[in-house]
Amino acid sequence: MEKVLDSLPDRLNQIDSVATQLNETAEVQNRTVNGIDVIIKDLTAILNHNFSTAKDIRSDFLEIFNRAKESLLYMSELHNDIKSIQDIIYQINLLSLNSSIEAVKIGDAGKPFSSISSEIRGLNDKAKSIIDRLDSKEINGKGVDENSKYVTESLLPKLNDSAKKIEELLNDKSKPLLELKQIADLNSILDDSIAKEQELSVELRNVTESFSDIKREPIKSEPKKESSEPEKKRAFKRDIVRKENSNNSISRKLVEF
Amino acid sequence: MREYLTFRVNSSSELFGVELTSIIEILKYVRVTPLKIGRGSIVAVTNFNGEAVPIFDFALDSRFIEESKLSDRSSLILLKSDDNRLFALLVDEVQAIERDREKLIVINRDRFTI
Repeated sequence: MEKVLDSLPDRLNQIDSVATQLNETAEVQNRTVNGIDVIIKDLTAILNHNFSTAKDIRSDFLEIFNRAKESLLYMSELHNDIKSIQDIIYQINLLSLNSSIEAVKIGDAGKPFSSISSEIRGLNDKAKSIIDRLDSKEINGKGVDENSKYVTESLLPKLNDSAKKIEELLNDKSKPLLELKQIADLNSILDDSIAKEQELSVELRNVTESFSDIKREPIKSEPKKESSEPEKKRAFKRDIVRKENSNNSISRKLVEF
Repeated sequence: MREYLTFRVNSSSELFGVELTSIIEILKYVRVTPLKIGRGSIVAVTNFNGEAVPIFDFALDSRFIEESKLSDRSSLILLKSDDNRLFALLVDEVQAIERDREKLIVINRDRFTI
């Protein structure tokens, strides 16, 4: 009992040190948890920002897609109109040639008629050269027809694919946010366990303090019963040994001190 | 001075011509009846004012077998033979009226036998 009491201060010191370490660890963990919390908040904000940017890009894509479609439609209409005008020009040419043939058949009387036909052909040729120039207009080395084909077969499907990818990205929005929520939940569990650690360390301190109080209080010994003679002798010897040990312990502590 | 109607065939660089006085009319290519067993270069017949008119393919190719090869510029030059019979020449594109004989290859109507 004496030995246990003697070692008690050391043990208490050890427990106190463990409690302090526990507390320090809990504080470090607490700081880490707070840091993770801030990171989660930042990540959530970044993700939300990215999703909002992706939404903007999708809307831009849709606008480009619709504009490209409209342009294509316009180009196609323009191309068809050019073809129609070319066809009309060709028919006017045939008409003027036929009128020249008729004028030749008439002979001298048809000469004025022939010259009118010739004038019509001249005007028709000018119109033809303008419309042919328009038809052969090139963008990036490609004609209207080729460009329309490129836009229809290559550009529009590419734009469509990209818009779909962005759409998929936006539909997956819940996934990373859900994972972040899971991290946040784990963090909160960790937070709870830190609180418990802190509580435990406080409890440990309380325990050590209560032990210290116990040590400071004098040990109340029960009144000794009358013992038989041999027992009395044995008790007397034990007392002597204890006193000697106690003296030794005090002197050792004094020396240590 | 003689005048010639010029035309091209098979997108060749050569310019052909037929004398204006021998031409009845120039027709825009219309639907014709192809002849599966043509006689010489007669490839089809068409109806002109109720008369069946044989069509000579000037290029002597088989464009009528695959009509898609015909362009919207394909034309028929309606001519009258020496014996007053109508026939038509299928050409790729009629061009203009030319007076200078040197600039073209002149085609005589008696070259085609009906």
